[in-house]
Amino acid sequence: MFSLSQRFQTLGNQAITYGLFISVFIAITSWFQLQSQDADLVPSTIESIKPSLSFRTSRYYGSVNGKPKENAKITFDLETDLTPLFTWNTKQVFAYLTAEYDGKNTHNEVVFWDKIITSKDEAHLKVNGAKSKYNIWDAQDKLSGKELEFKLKWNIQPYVGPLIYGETIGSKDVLVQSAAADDDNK
Amino acid sequence: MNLRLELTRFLKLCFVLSSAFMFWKGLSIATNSHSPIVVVLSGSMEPAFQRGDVLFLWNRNERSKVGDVVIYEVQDKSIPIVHRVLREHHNDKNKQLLLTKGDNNAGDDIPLYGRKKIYLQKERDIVGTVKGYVPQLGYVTIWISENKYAKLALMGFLGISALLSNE
Amino acid sequence: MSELLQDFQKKLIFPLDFPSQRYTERLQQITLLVGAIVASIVGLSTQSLKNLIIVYGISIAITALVVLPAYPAYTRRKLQWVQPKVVNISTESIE
Repeated sequence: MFSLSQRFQTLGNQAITYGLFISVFIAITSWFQLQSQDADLVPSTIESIKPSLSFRTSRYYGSVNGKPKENAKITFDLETDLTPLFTWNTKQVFAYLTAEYDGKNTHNEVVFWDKIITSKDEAHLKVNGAKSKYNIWDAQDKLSGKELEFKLKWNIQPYVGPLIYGETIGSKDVLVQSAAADDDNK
Repeated sequence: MNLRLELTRFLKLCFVLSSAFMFWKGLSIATNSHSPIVVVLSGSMEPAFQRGDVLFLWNRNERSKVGDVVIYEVQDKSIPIVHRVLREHHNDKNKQLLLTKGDNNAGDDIPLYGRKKIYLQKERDIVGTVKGYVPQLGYVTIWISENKYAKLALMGFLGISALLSNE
Repeated sequence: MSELLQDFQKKLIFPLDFPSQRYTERLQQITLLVGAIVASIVGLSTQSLKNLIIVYGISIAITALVVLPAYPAYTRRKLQWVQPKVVNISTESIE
């Protein structure tokens, strides 16, 4: 503390050290806040999922060597209230609608729809007949004939600290019917 | 000019540099990732990550999950990319295919993967999964590497402090 | 050139006397700690990181104002060095 530069240095070091402690404090308190708000028990309802199939020949739709690839889109209804995920350390919540299914010796999970939520006011999601954001294809062969399990999952992006993942309670199983079967029904 | 003093000073500098290097490499071994701490360079994950945010990576997970934010490096492009996993397909033999997308981008990353590739492979391409986050701390590095006046100012500051310090 | 630098260097030191060095270090530790705690409480109770950063920033600024400059009160108690005794030696020449 003899010279000005020494004083400046010790002040800077100490301010940064306490700043780190404050960051840890923020991360811990926000975690407890999430627990007390039952963030892991948020219910969601996913209803009336209607898949529709098409064939694409572009590489950007999963086609290899120009062979037609079966692509799936869906429409769906969704309702959930993600307000419990917001604490004083929540910068954004990334909510995503995934489908899990098993293939030949494989397990797969794909995202059909997602949404970035940056404030509590937007946290109540209610969509009817929404279209999926992405065209989904299977890495091996095709989606038709497979049983998809839909779930809404979330990821909390904090201002400082660890990223937190979880899923809402509630799922929906849907069998994707092949295009041929679809035609038979008509 | 005291030779002994100068040599001690030099030794101290070596000590600082080598301990920083050891810390980096130790962290690299612990996380199994060749760059365990990265600075975000693009805005493609906004508003989750802005340019200059510091990310802490972990690469000891066997598989990536959908929703994970991963850093990947495409072969023959040296720029690491921070994006979110949108799809994963894995089999029993621990081979995993991933498709990623930036939150702020309209489409997925297939155009970035290079010729004929439509998936990333977990083992080969992924540098790490983002676990922790500190905002804006890395902006200094972007600032220094992209602004020549900042670079000069840093050089000047280092030079002057080296000249003026007598410890 | 190097003399000029050294001159400059001496002017930049702004030394404190010894008791004040100890005092400012203690003071800095306490004010920063109190600032950090108050900032955390204010931030948590108002649920706002912005308030936390503002309060902590103010506490750092206050600490800097109190600790950094060499106020006259910090430089008064100079060390008393032992004075060399001046002995009068008679210069009468011996003849």
